[in-house]
Amino acid sequence: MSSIADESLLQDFLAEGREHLSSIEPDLLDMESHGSDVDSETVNRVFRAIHSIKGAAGFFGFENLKELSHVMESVLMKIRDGERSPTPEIMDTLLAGVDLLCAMFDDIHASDGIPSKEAIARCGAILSSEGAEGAGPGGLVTAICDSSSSPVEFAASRDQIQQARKHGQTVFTLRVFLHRDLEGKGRSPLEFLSLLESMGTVLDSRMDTSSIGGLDECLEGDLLWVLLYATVLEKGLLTAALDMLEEQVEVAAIHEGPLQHAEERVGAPAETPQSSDTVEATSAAKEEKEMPAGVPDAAGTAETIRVRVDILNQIMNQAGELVLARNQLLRSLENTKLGIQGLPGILQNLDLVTSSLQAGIMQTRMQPIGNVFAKVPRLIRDTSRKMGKEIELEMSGTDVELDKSMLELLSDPLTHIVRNCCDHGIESPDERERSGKPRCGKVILSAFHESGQVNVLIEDDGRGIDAERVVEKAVASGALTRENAERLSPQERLHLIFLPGLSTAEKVSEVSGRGVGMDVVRANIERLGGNVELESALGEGTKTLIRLPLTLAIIPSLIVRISQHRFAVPQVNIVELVCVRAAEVSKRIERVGEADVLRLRGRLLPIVRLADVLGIQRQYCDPKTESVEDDRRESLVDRRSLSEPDEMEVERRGSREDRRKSWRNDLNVVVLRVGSNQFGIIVDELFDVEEIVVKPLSAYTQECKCFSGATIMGDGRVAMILDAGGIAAQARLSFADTDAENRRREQERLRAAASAGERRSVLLFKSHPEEVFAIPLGSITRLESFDTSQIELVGSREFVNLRGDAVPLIRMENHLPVRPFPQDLRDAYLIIPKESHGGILASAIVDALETDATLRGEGIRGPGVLGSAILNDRMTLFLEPRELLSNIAQ
Amino acid sequence: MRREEETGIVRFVAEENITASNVRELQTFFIEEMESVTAGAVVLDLSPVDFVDSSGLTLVIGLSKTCNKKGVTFRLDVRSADILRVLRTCNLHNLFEIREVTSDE
Repeated sequence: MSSIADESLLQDFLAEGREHLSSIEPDLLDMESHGSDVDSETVNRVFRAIHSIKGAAGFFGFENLKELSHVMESVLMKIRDGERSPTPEIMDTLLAGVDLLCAMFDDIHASDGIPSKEAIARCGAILSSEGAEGAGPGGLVTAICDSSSSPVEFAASRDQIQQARKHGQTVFTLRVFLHRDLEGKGRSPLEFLSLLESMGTVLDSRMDTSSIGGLDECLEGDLLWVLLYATVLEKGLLTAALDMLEEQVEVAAIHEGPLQHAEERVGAPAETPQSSDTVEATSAAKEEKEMPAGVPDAAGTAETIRVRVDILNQIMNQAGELVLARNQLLRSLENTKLGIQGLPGILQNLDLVTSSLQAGIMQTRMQPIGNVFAKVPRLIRDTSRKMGKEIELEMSGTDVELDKSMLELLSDPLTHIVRNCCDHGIESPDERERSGKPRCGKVILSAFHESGQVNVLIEDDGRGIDAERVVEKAVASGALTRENAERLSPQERLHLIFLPGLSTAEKVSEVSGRGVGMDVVRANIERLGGNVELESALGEGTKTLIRLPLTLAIIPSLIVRISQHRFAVPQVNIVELVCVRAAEVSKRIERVGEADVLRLRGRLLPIVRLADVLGIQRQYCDPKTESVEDDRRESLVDRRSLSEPDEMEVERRGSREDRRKSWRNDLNVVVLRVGSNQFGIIVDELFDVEEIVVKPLSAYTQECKCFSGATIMGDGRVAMILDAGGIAAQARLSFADTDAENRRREQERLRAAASAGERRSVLLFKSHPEEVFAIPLGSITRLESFDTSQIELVGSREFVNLRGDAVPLIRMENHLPVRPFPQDLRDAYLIIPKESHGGILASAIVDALETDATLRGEGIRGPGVLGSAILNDRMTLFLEPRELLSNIAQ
Repeated sequence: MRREEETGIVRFVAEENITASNVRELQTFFIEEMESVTAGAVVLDLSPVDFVDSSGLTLVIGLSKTCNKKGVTFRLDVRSADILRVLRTCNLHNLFEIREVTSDE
C-alpha cells in the first residue's frame, strides 16, 4: 500500500469497492439477458464502477487489482462502443473477473498474490479477438485518457508497457497546458520533458492542435499536451514533483489492440483553460456527463451518509445499555413513583423516548433482504449453465428488511438451498418434458413478514425429495436404525436430510451432492434464532421455509422462573401459555412412551420440566407452611395418576389440604415452536414480556445448546436466554411418538363415534356404479369435477391437473377389495380430503346427509375402513380418509 | 527572421531562438509575409537556432495551419536535437514534415 495513503482511506476504498462490486453483478446479468439491445446506461454504470475501482486501486498501488479491473474496463468499453455484444462467453469472463476482484477485496493486502493471469488473459483474448494484428508480442497497445471531454488515444508498444510494469512502473496520462502549466511556471517544453525523463519514460504524447486555426489567433489560446508516461512514482508524489493538479494526472486505461481513429483523436477538441477555474468547471461537466440521470449529486441533494459499521455497533450496544438502565430504573421506582410528584410522567416519557431511540438505531442496521437475494440470479445462471438446465427465477419481497448481521449470516444457507434446488430439484429439460412439465424449471424466492418474523421461502417445481430414499440413506449410513425409522412421521423422514453427511444425490456434482450443507444450513439458521421447515411432494417440487427473527440484538422475551433462577424465552418461539390446574394434572397429563404429554384441545403435546432439562433442583410451595421445599417427585404422572382417595383415606388425611391440588402448584406450561413441531416446558412462574438486550455467551457456556445468549434484567440480575431447539434436543423429545399417538387416538375416536351411532354428516359417493361409500363431510376440503381424459400417468402413479396443481389420484379398487371405476366414464369427481395431498376418484356423488347409523365391523376390511351400514337401503362402506391416505402414502 | 525564395519555395530562416520575448513580433511578420506567398511550399528553417519555447511551438503550429489553409506545403527544418526531441515527442511530425538538418549541411 502506498505510504501516503492511510488506513482510513483504504477502508473507505474497500467499502466503496465492495458496493460497486455488489451492484455490478446484477447489471452484468441484465446486460447478458438483453444482448445487443442492452441499455447503454446499464453498461455505463458497470463501466463507471470498474473504472472507479481501477483508479483507486492504482492510487493505493494494488497492481493486480488495477490490472484486472483495467482489462475488464477495456472489454466493457468495447461493449459500450457497440464493438462487442455482451455474449454469455464475454459475461462469463466479466463475472469471473468480478469474482476475482471480490476475492482481492476480501484480502486486499494479499491481493497481489491472488492469481489473476488467466482472467486477464481471457479479457485480453476478447479484446484481441477482433483481429488486432498489433496484439502480437511487440504490437501496439492503445491507452485512453478519458479525463478530457473527448478521449485521447495513444499508441505505445505492448513491450514498452510490459517493460514498464515489469520494472514496477505505473503508466499515467498527464494533461499539460503549454502556457498555463509550462510557460506560466517558467518551464519550456524541453525542460519539462527532461524533468519527466529524469523520473520515468515518456511512452508517447499527443498535442491537441485543434484549437489553433492559423497564425491570427494562435497565441490567444492554449495547447493541450497529453503524455503517456511510465514511472515508479505514485500519483501523489508525481503530482507534487511535476507541480501539477491531481486531476491532471491519471492512471492510464490501457488495452491491447490496434490504434483506431488515432488521427482523428489526435486532433480531437479539448477544452482550453483560461484559468484553473475553467479546469474545475470542465471536470464538473465531465462528472455530470458520467452521472446517471436522476442520481443526486454528492454536494447537493444526497440524503444518505456512509457510517462505519463498528460505530453503528457501538451505538447499538449503548442503546442496549440504555434500555437496560431504563428497565432497572422503572423496576426500582415501581413502588415509589406515585409518591413523587411528576415522576410517573417523566418515567413514561423516558420509557417512550428510550424505546423510540432504540427502534431508530435498530432501523439504521436494517437492510433489504434483496441485498442477499441479489446473489441468486448469478448463482442460478452459473449453475444452470454448468448443469445444462433451464431455470427461471422469480423473486418477491426483496424490500423486506433484516438486521445487517442476520443478512450476512443468511447468505450462505440461502446459497446452499438455492444450489440444491438447481442441482437436485430441477430436472434436465428432457426429463421435465417427459414428466409433462415445461422444459424450463422455476425457482421462486420470496420474503415476507409473518407474526413478527421474517419468512424466506424458497420453492422449486423440480422432482421433490423422495423421503423413502432419505430414510434408506440414513439407515445405510448408520445414522438411524430401521426400527426408529419406521416410527418417524412423514415430516420427520423428510427432515432426516438435515443429518450431517446425508445426501440422496447418486453422484457428487461440482455444485452439490456431498451431503455437506443441509446440516450446516440448519445449524446456521438456528444460530440466528430461526428455524427451517421442509415440504416436498415427489414429482412436484420442494418448499423450504426459513423463519427468522427481525433482529438478534434486542428481542421481546417472556421472563420465566425456575426455583431461584430466571430465564428469558424469546417471544418468537412462544405459541401459547397454558395453565394446568393442580387438580387437573392427573386428567390432562399422561405418559406416551417415555415422555410426558399434555392433553391440549384434544391433541397430545410433549412436555418437559425445564428444571429437569437444565439440571436444576425442582421446588414446590407447601400451602400450609408457605415454605419452599425441594420437589423429589420423579414423574408428573406417577403421583397424579393415583385414583381419588377413598373415604378412609380422606378421614386419615383429615382436613389437611392436599398440596398437590393447591393453586400454588398449578403447572405453568409455555408452549414452544421448533420448526413444525411444538412442545411445552413447565416453569414455576411466569413474569412479564420484556425487551431484552441480547448479550453473547462467553466461550465457557457456548457449548450448552439450551441457551442462545444472556441478558441483564431490570433488577440487575443476569438471565439466560433459552433456545427452544436446544431444549428439545437436550430433552431428547421425539415428536414422532406423540404424532403417531395423536393419529391413533383420532382414528379410535372416529371409530368409537361411528360404532356408537353418533349423529354425523356424511357424503355418499360411488366409484363403481353398484357400490356406495360414505365419508365424513368434515374431513373433506373440496369436491372437484373433471374429465377423466385429464388423468396423466407418471411412472406408475396417476395425476390430475387441477388449476396448475398436479393432484395424485386414488382409486378405491387399488387399495380396497372393491369393484373398479368404470373405464369408459368421462365425467368424474375428485374428493379432496383435509390435510392430505391426493384425491379420491368418484364416479358419482350420491348425496350428503346426516345419519346416526351404527357401523358394523364385519364385511370389507382395509385401511381407512370404519365399517359398514345400510343407508337408503344400500350397503354403504364408511371411510376415514386420513387413515386411508396415510396408509397409501406409506 | 529572414525570408528567402527559391523556385516554388519560400524559406523563412530563424536568426534567433523563438520565445515569448519575440513571438508576437514574429507572428506579425509571418502574417504579413504569408499574404504575399504564392509559392507551393513554405519552409521554416530553425537550423540556426537551438531553442524554442511553448510560445514558439505554438507559433510554428499556427504557421503550419495557415499554410495548410492556403494549400501550401509546410516543412520545418531543424538541426537542434533538443528541438527535434520536443517536436517528435509531441507527435507534430504527424501534422507537418520535419526535416532533420545534419551537421555537414
